[in-house]
Amino acid sequence: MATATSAQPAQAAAGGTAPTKYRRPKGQRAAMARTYIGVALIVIWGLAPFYWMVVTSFRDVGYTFDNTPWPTHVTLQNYITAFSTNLGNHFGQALLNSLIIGTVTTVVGLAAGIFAAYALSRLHFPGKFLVTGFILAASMFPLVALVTPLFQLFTNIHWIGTYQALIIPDISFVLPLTIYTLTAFFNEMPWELEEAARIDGATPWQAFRKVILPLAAPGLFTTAILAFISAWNEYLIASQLSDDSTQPVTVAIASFTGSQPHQEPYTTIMAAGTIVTVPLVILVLVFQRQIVAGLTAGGVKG
Amino acid sequence: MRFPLKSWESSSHPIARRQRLEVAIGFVGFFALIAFINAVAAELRGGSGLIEVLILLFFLIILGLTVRSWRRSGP
Repeated sequence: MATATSAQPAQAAAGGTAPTKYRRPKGQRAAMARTYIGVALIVIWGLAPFYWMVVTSFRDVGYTFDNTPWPTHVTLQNYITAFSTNLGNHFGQALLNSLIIGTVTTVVGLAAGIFAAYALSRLHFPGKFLVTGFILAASMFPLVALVTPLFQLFTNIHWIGTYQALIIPDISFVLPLTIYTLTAFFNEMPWELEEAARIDGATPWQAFRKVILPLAAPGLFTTAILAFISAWNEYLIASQLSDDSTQPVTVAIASFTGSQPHQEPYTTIMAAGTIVTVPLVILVLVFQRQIVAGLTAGGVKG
Repeated sequence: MRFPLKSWESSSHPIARRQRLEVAIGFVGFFALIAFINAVAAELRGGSGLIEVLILLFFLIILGLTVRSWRRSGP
């Protein structure tokens, strides 16, 4: 107490005032409140369908259309039914198929994309920007226009229901994505590093492999995630070109059959949807900083 | 961030404009190529192929105009 009373006159003598808590101006506070409300609305808008899917996946079948916004009549039966093969569903096999298709697509797409992106970013050759425009146009080509020709082609060469029939079109869809993302990454890298390696006696291949590639590792990782998500979520081509043994999860979920004829097994579909979505959500949440960095790389010069 | 930007990195610089036009040629060229293949396939099938040829003509005109702009923007 004695200390407190003696400190006050000393502070007053020094001409100081007691520190007051900083309060933002009223207009600024209102603007911040509006921002937070906007963010909250966007988050709710984005997460509501996912939340509803998870809640429904834990609901008893008899309460599928219950509107209670929190979990009620909780059961794990839907998850058991999703993996059950008694009703002719092959969800486990479909998960494995998706993993195979996604992994091979990502690896091959990335391997090809690295060289294309490096060439577009670092090498000078006539028609370099022509190729960029060509890739841009290829990425904008409507997918649905390819379904019938691909179906005819793969029927003729007996590829319907094989992995390559799903992987090869998927690679062509992820290639523009990988090339654009990696080109932005390579553009960001200083030329001097490569030049220093060349001066030290490295061949162009050695400079690429030992200097550029390790530095581009975060970009490669981001691109791999994006390519994998793209292949994992592909439905249109897979729905036409796969059969029971090769169908990915997207097709398997859409063709789920329930125990009753003419009755959609919504809760089981929601359980399967949750199983498929959760790994991707976790992957994106864990690596969101790298993904955003990858997507915005090259957005500004310098 | 690297400053100052090189002069040709400015969006209004002639080299930047030329590069953009080159991208546009690639973009339109891709669809012109697809339209060409489509028109040839339509002709070989023995159908009328009028719509396919008109689409090809449309893309060729745009491609021609873009190439002309690109040539005029040359160094």
